[in-house]
Amino acid sequence: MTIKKILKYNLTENFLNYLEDRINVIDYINIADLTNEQDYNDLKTQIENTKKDSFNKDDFYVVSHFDTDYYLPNCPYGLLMFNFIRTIQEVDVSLNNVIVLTNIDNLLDEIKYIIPQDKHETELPIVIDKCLSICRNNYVHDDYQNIPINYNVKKHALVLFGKERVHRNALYNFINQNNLKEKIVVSYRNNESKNINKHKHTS
Amino acid sequence: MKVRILTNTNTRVNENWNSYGDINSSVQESYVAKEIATQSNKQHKTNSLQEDFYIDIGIDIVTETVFNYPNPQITEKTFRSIANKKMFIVVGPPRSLQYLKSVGFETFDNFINEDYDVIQNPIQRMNFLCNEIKRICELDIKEINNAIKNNDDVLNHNFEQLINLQSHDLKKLDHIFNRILS
Repeated sequence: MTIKKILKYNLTENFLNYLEDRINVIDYINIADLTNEQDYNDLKTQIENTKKDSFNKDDFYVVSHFDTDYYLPNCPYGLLMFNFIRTIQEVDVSLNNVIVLTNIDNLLDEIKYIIPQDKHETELPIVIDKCLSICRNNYVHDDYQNIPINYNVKKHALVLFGKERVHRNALYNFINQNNLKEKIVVSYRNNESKNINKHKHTS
Repeated sequence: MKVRILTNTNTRVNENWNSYGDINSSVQESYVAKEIATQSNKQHKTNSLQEDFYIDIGIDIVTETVFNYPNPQITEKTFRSIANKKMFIVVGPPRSLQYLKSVGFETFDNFINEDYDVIQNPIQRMNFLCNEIKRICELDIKEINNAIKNNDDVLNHNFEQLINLQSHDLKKLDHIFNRILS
């Protein structure tokens, strides 16, 4: 299994090997790669080049759906998934030949809003939901060091904020305004490139 | 016929929930506490689940990738807490704790008020989370350590569940593939 493939489809090497043992993977598609019209045109070409005149029951396109989607207000489905399904329909490939791997728990319900109800018995993809360990970025494995529990901690809490987001700004500001940094160990790397020389350390 | 819906910043719901400024979400400068800054690696790494700076803390406040989002999105940030055997609060979408329970993990409702998990409104959920975090910070550190003792079976259970997650997922997939390929 090539590293490039593992990175591209955001699946663990173990799982990619497992999949290729069990089914005939026609192609891999990562929903996160589909962000503009050109991406969908490229996908359409990719599927047209790989589609078969007739599919065996173990022939599948494997779709990774682990990144966040876009949503319009009160719209029950994600826009990337909507666009993906429309593209599959454009090239006339049955959704029965599509396996979607996702970490969320109700993706099939979302997809049912995109597919006409009279096709729900015959024209839905196979959705495998709550897949937490097969997403490479979750770094789940079975070889963690079994560390002892510390019953004598010194600080109340820890927050590792990571990249800037509105909810992280809100919580960080609350911690600041309420002088909670004495109790909570905080790391926030927002605007790190702009503020590279402005890091403050508590005394 | 093309019938695609173009995405843009306005369709990125996660960043739009506080557009009226109900909560102060203005951008602040970067900050790294000395407990992290003095570690040899200087800052946390997203690809590592066990870090030295977890040792002396009671609760991990996990700020997940998304907050205003229709589905729970559990990532390595939550798994890092579990691998380090820490109690956690998830600052993420509603139903995140319910989701974790559905895949076999347990949470800490005997010590942390976890009602935030069912609050759909993001402003109300954030206010609830902030108040709960403040309440916990006002406790004596002995009470945090007592809570850790009271929850040590949960912390060990979650660790075991994490270790077994990969084999559970593969068994689930085996079951599905056996059905569809038979």
